[in-house]
Amino acid sequence: MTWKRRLTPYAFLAPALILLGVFVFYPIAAVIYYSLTDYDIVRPPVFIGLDNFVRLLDDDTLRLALLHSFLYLIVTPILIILSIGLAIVVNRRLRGIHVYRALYFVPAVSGSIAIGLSWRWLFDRSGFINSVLMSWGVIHEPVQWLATPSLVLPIAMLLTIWAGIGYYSVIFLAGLQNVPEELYDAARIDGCNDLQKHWYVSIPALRPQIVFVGVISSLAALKVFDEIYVLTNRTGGILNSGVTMVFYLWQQAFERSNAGYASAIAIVLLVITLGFSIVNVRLLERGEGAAR
Amino acid sequence: MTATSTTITEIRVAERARRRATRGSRWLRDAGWYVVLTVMAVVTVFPFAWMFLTSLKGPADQITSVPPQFLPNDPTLAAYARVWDSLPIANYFLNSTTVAIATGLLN
Repeated sequence: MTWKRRLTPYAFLAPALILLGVFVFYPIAAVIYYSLTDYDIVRPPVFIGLDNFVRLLDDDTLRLALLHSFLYLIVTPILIILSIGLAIVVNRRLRGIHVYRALYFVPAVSGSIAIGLSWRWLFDRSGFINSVLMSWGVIHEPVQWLATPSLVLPIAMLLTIWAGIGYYSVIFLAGLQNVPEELYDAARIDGCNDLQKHWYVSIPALRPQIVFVGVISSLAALKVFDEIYVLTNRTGGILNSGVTMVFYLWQQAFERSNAGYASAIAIVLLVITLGFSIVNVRLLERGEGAAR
Repeated sequence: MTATSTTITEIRVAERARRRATRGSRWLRDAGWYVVLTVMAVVTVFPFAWMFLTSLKGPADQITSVPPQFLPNDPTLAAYARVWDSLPIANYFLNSTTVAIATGLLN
């Protein structure tokens, strides 16, 4: 009877492993294969070895995309600070605070395409923002927000921050509510005012959440696509000012039909994000060890 | 801290007494927080509210104007009717629901 007992764990693992295999491992293997081919999705792939990767080394647009993706990382510290601030504000025992918490969470449940589109209309040449600024006399002609190369990325970042605050503050709020009251009491005995209370008690207590949010949001920043796609209407911005790694990958694969080259870009992205997460977690965990 | 030996109970009593003595300013402080919360709520919800109000605007309303027009003078549901007629929205909604249920179950 023991063979049945030996087989049972695998029976439990099987469904998950099958799904993972089909939807995760096989695609990764396929991408690694395609990155060594010239593939335009219509005709069968043609093996060309490492030519795609050689082409990567000279690609200026790819360098631009890399730069933009890394620039996008500035979103992470901003998000952490603002979300912690929001969580602290929302942690108060005010009447109707739950209504506010629900409202702040609305962008997180709205779907990135929908909020991206609404922002594109707001920033349109004849959109709300220009109308307000002109009616206040701040500007005399409509500003082409999304057609200004230097503004495309900042607007996309603003969108990411605006949508992310509500989401990440829920994580910090949960962490804040688990801080034992005794720590605040000890701070009060030592003479802390409200601000110091949060600096010396709340924020250190939130370290695990900060690590989590830091890793998640920085990976999301490296992989940003929806905001760029919607705000630039699939173009990537004038002079490729909004092109990020994943957007460039999509553009190569589906607009230029260079799926092989896109797969090579995907491999590069995989290596970068892998390295990034390892460094991220090591740095933040080492900080935690030092704090003890 | 060895200077004064105060217990936490004494501190809490003192804080409560101080707050009770200035109950008026407590209301002011709360109101201040409500202002902050409301401003942030407006900023968060505004794009959706603007889309919703624009969707209700009738043929006589300005969608893009300086200064922007918030409330429709001529509210109508004609836009929604047009969308329903030109796109299989019910189908889309069914698809979304199916995906949502399946994803929830699989998780």
